[in-house]
Amino acid sequence: MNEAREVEILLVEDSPTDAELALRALRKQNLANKVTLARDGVEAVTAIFGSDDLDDGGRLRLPRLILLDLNLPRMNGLEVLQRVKSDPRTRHVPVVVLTSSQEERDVIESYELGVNSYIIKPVDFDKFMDAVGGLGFYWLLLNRVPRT
Amino acid sequence: MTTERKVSLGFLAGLVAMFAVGIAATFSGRELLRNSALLDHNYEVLRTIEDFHLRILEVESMSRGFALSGKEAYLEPYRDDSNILLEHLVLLAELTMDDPEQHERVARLDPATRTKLEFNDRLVKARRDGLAGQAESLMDSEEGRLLMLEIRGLIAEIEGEEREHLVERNEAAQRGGTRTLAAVLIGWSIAVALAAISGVSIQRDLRLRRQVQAALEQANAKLELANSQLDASNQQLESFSYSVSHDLRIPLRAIDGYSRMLLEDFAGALDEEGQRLLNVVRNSTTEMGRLIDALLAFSRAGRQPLALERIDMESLVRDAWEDVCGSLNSQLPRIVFHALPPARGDRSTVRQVAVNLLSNAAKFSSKNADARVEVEGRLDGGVNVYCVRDNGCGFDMKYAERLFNVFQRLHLKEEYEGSGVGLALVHSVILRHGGRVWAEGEVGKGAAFYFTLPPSE
Repeated sequence: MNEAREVEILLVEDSPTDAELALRALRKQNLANKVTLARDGVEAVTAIFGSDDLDDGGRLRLPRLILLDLNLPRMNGLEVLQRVKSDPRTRHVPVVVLTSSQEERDVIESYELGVNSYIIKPVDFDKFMDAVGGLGFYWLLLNRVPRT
Repeated sequence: MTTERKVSLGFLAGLVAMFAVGIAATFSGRELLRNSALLDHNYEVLRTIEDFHLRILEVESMSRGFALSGKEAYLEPYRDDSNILLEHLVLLAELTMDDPEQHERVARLDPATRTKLEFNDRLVKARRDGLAGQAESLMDSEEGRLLMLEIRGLIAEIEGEEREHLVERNEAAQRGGTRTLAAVLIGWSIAVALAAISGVSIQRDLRLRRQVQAALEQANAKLELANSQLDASNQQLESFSYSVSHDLRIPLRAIDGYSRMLLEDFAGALDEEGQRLLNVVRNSTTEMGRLIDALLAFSRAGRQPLALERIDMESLVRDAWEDVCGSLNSQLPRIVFHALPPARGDRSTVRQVAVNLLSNAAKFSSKNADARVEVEGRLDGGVNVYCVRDNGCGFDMKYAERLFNVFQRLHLKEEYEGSGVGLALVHSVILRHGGRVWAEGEVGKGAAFYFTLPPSE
């Protein structure tokens, strides 16, 4: 289980520009050195559970934080969220939805699935930096989760 | 008149007609019965008097027969008939008790008959005593003839009178019968006519109702189709605005973010003009972000279902004004609240209407040193009409129609800031409440925005 410590943050983001902006924000908080990027839902699930079909416990990688976009190619963010929060091995991992969607139904569904935070990406650069940097800081350095 | 009313009225009229016919028939029938009893009585009198006539002739001929032949065989019928005649006299006296004239005639017939019978007895006695001459002279005598003449005269009178009665009563009975028949016929005709009228009228009503129902069903089908089309287009709009909200922001964020990264990381390589240009890029993305937000808010407000309830418009407007005061950058105008009738509507969207109109009024009057905003309302023709009036910069009535379009501005952005969807949102909300929105204004004098809502009761 030592492998799990290697991945601190799993960033699930299909837009390369948004990903770069997020990385820049995390870098400013000195959190960028252990970020794994997944570009869609399938990649995200594989990154956590190993092969999507063959999720033997040995290959399980537990990030300390998942930053999850909702609108993703192939498997969308809500499905990933549902997968993580319904598995007893992964449900303690904090998941922060980081999306452009202001739709109320997305907010409601995310919370019903057990999301830990729901952040709407600001268009403004400064606000974006503050939001992403702040949540990385909060969830990785301030928040405490049960040890697995 | 409703069909139900027609049916009950028709039944009521039918019942009344039947009842009237029943009463008329009962009366006529009773009269008929009385008449037929009287007729029976007539017939009895007539039968008796006719028999009396026969028997008096018989008595005469028997007595004469005996007087001529002396044969005893004549005497027995002679005596029988004489007795019957006396019985008939009693019977006639009884039968004519109800008719004084006839009774008087019978009273005259009685002594005449008795005298005649005595006379005949005298004739029979004379022959039996062998006094043939006396008998012959009695037979030829004027006395017998006169007596017989008187009796036959009385009989004719009684019979004639009784026949007259008979005719009269027959006629009366016939008249009664005709009347009964007429009453029944009239009643029956009325009932049939009523049934026909009600039937036709009800038929017409039902036909009309069926037509209306068919039209209604057709309209409903059309409405359902339109509704499903509307649902489909609403769904489309929803997914459209969803992708706008999501996908449009990504490049926008990239433009802003990368410009910023350029400014941060390569500040040394850019001169002042280069930095100014990049800042223009950044300001434009901020503005576009704001426009997208406004458009999304507008689209969301149009899709949100309305929860109708009674709204105290006075407190709602005061709340909204507090909101406006909190968010306004410019100097606050004087505000005057007049009494407002309560309305029926969706509280949160109507509140948004009030906020938008009040903030517009405050914004566009901010350059007037004596700025003043007034809110008033009244019930007019079944709807509540509310008005927000200001003495601000106003507008040209030429553009009154365009005011409520999305992103339509009548002023430069540098003069008055705004998203360009405030009045469009007002328009959309009020329209969804089944109300109307309109504006009056004059350049430099001020503007008045009116909207209607259904009253709370």
